[in-house]
Amino acid sequence: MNEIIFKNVYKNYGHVEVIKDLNLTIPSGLRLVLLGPSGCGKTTILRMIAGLEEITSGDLFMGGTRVNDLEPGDRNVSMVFQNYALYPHMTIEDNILFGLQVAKVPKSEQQEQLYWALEILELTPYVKRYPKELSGGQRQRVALCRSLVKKSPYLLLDEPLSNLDAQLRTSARAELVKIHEVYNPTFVYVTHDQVEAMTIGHKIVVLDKSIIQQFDVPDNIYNKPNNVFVAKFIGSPSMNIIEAPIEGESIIIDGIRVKVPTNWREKVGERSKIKFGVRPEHVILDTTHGDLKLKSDFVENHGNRKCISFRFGSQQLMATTEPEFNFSEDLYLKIPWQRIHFFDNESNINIGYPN
Amino acid sequence: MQTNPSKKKNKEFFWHVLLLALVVITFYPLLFMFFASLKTNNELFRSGLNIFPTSPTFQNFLLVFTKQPVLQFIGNSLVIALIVTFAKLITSILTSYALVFMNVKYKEAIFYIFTITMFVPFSVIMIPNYLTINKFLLMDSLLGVALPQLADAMGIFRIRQAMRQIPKSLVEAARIDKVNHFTAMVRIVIPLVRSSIVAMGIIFFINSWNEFIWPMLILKSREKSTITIALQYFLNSEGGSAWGSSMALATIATLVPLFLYLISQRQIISTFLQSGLKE
Repeated sequence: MNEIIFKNVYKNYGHVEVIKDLNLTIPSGLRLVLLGPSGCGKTTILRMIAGLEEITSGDLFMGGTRVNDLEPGDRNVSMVFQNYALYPHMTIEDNILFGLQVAKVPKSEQQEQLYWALEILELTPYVKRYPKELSGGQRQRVALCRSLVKKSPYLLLDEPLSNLDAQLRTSARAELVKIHEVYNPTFVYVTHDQVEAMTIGHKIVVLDKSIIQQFDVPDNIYNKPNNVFVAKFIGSPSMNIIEAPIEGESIIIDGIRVKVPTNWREKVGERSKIKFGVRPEHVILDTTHGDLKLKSDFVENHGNRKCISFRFGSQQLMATTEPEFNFSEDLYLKIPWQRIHFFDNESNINIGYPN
Repeated sequence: MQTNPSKKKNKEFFWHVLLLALVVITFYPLLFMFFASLKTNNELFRSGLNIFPTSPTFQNFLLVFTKQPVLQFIGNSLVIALIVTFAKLITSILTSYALVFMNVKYKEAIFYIFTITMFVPFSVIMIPNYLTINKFLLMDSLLGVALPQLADAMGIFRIRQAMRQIPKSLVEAARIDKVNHFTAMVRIVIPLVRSSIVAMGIIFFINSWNEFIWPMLILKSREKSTITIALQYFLNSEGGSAWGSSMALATIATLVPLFLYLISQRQIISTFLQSGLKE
């Protein structure tokens, strides 16, 4: 139906490759999030779908048709821009209806669409105002309204929440999901915020350096990251990655031998060195006994938890605990073998998990 | 740091005196022109440095209107100035829109070529333009005067600057809604740069209105003359220089741009004060 398919898509600006060999299928009606650091090409992908950027080579299909050479207006998409792109000289009503007015949709139908959309986003009282008279959150909702009245099968959003304050963002996230569920368009959302990605997306594409690092459901992105980049990019504080040699049945962390369970040892195979990953929230700390004895470096109190940092050699390790956790200088760390990740030391790729 | 209030006052006084001097220097020729037009020729030469007429008379104005088809001259100037102004605005707006919002290949290079033409003096292109107009058989016609002035690099430069203040996403949002470029330009971009367009229009109009050498080259017959050409009719062809009549005509010539400035003053000032477009 309304799926979007990228086939071997490249995008160059002069000699700079922004997108390299992109192959991606976005199923119809899915909420997909493009997540990555700035400059990773996520906005370019969105703009290629909208038709605002030309495709250098490869094919883009939308709803079964090749759209490479289609004008933005002929692709039947709607888009919410980062700066909302509201027309400052028009009232909210005209802003929302501009597209429909130009398309000469009958007046009665326009009004019907307008009040339907305003109702959903609770903007009805502001219909005669100008954008400059609204707050940031209200402007953002007007931008959503504008794409809502079109009811196009594709809804594209380019970091729509990045100009809002933290509190507003939480409510706006829920609003976005609500809007998607009104008519289930194929939803493509660009963000660099992992919380938005995890909460909004059915599926997440993690991008870095123009390449897809992982395309999966949020659970797997968090629990089974493909590589070190994804592991560190998702989660706050980010995952601890420790380079550790393997000797016999043991892994050596900070000069201390820790025995590796046999199922994990089989996975490691011939490798003599490994990148060992564990999320701060999965580290088990104890004041009396454990696998490693460590000295805490500093402690950050976040109110709902404490982040304890340990340093050994050139490496650092973070652990989060309950705020009530009381400790002296010496702490014992226990490795949670069910919650750890091993990455190949050379390629940084996840070596998999034992059955 | 505390500033001595009396020192501050002195400073202010100094600036006011300076500004007042500038006002006098700027206005003196205009006042001289106006008062001279109210004097008889005899008084003009008798009165020396006294610029005020002893017995004001509108004799000169009457003479000007009876001896020459002044309204015709004003009409000619107006026709040329309006054609030139609107043509320059239209070409500037279209060019700027394309340079800012459309995917035009080599648009930076094209823009720089346009800007370079600003640095070519008029005297350099005067002869080639004269020959071209001659070949087009447009000598002694108002169209011949207007034709080489239908586009202006300064207009492209200024209006492009104004359009660059508009976020590109405004036009992109419209494009996604299947709005064509022309509609996007008319409904979104032009309203947002309106004050720049008005200011540019006034500058174009006044420049064209005041133009002397080029119309002089092209226009030969009396009934095609512009008001600037007509100014010197009283200086030589009438047997002796009729300074009073000449000043009367000059006063009339000044009134049209002055009137235009007064009705659009608000727009001009807002353009020069405008620092950027905010939503």
